[in-house]
Amino acid sequence: MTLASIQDPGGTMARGYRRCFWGTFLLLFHVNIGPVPIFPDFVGLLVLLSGLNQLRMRAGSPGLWRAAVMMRILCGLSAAEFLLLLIERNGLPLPASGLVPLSALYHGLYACLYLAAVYEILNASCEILAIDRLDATAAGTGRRLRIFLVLSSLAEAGLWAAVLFTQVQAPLYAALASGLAARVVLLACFAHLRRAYLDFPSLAPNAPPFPPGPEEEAGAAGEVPSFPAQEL
Amino acid sequence: MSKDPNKSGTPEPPASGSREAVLQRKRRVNRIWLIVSLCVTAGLAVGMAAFLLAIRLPEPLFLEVYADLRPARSQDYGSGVVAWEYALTLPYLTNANDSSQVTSVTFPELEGDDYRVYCSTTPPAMYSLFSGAASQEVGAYSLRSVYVTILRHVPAAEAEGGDDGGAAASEARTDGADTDPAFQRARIAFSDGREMEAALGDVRLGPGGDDAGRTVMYSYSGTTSNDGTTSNLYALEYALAQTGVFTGASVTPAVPDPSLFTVTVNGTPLEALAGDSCSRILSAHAEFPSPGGIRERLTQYALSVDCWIQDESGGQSCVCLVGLLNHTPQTPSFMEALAYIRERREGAA
Repeated sequence: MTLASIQDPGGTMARGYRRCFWGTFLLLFHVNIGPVPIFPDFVGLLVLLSGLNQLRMRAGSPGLWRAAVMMRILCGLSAAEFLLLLIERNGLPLPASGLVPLSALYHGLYACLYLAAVYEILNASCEILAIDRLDATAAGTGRRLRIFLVLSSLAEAGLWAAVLFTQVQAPLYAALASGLAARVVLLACFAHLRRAYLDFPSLAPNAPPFPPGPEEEAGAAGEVPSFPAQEL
Repeated sequence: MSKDPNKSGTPEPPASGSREAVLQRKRRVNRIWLIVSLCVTAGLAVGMAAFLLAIRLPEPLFLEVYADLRPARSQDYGSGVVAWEYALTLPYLTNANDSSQVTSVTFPELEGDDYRVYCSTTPPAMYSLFSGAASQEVGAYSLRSVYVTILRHVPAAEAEGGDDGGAAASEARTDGADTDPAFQRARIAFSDGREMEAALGDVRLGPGGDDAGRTVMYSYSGTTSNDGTTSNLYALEYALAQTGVFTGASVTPAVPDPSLFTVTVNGTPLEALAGDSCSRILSAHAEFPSPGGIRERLTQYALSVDCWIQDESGGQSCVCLVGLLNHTPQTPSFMEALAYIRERREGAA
């Protein structure tokens, strides 16, 4: 926790969620130059990780720590995958990838880690929001998290169905639509979280005055108001 | 007397309906959703991995080939020996991550000095004579082709039909199906040192050479429909009509065996026309398998119809319809490939 994050908790959180938003946005895009992707997954994951670190500057939640660990593993996996792709494209003899048992397990591990990491981020966010008394945003975040999980599972099921039934296009389109919808829900979630923290009271010298919360109003007769961040 | 939570070490559960209780319930619901999602994702991946492991091919599976090959070209070495050059494509299914390549192909039934066999994993210069792509992904499998060139050395006198103006060669062709060299098996070596023997189907090396007095009709040799049937049938009818002899020819599924086609001219089976006063058909191969089921559709056919005709003056001529049913296997879907492998295994059992 830094002095800046204590003085401006809302700004710190908003910056963190903004990076999470852009990280997720980069993960959404798969633009290739020939066979080589311009934005491999680890680029988006690194941006997401920097957002997580920003959030952790203000709130040292164990959930965020777990999410950061999982993000680092995902970054490593993605970077290794990208490296292997480059080596393969340069003609070095590597066992061809293709649809093999190991690649299915790798894909499953990657997807599970990503799901768990997103869950940890949003679940920790719900806890922080509850502590910050932003209950409506917390409820919305929880709802979006559930939608994201359902859509992601549907995308996985659709993807494997598309692999098996290559002649039928419906599972492929369903998988693409579900995957895209899941990412859009996640983007919307980070955007809402950022917006919620943009209006959060700050102790910075040039910040708007810190409005008294309901608990502070109730305890105005002598109790010391507690700052939300200190409860974390 | 109430318990002090600080003394017992376990926090007291929040009162039901309180804000804390609601938050806790929501956390629990979220966790359940996560567990369900993780179970679905991991279960699908593990199930898929197990499935892919179960369907792995222990060794490449060569598709069946039924070909009545004619020499693509004839080379005269000037030493009394002529080499007939045959082009054959052997498609095979292998695991997608199989990085080995075919290094040599031999045919046990064609042993001897009269035959030379060369193979290539890319289409050689005689590209148009070979069919099929070098490699195509089919889910967990890869459909690859190995291009085989067979050189058959024959004495020049035999290749040219001898001194009797081709009569002997004509006779040989008339019932040549029984005397043509044929093979059903291939021995294949791979770059990783593996060797295997594959059941191919039936490939016959028909005679070439003597084109005198012989009308050669090249029919459409590609396929446009999924199963390759329709276009070939139209091509056959068109080619027959082009001869000027078989006007009104049609190709229909044979009765009682619908797996065969039969060629009829104005409702009369082709073979029954033999003895016609105008054009006597001496011989005709007019039946060939219909690529109907998955096994037939992934089988390569290159069959020809030879019709030997005797005109009013007694002269013989041949209408050779080459490549009538040159059905190249289309790229199957993953499930079709699985069905084919199952059928082949059941057939072998």
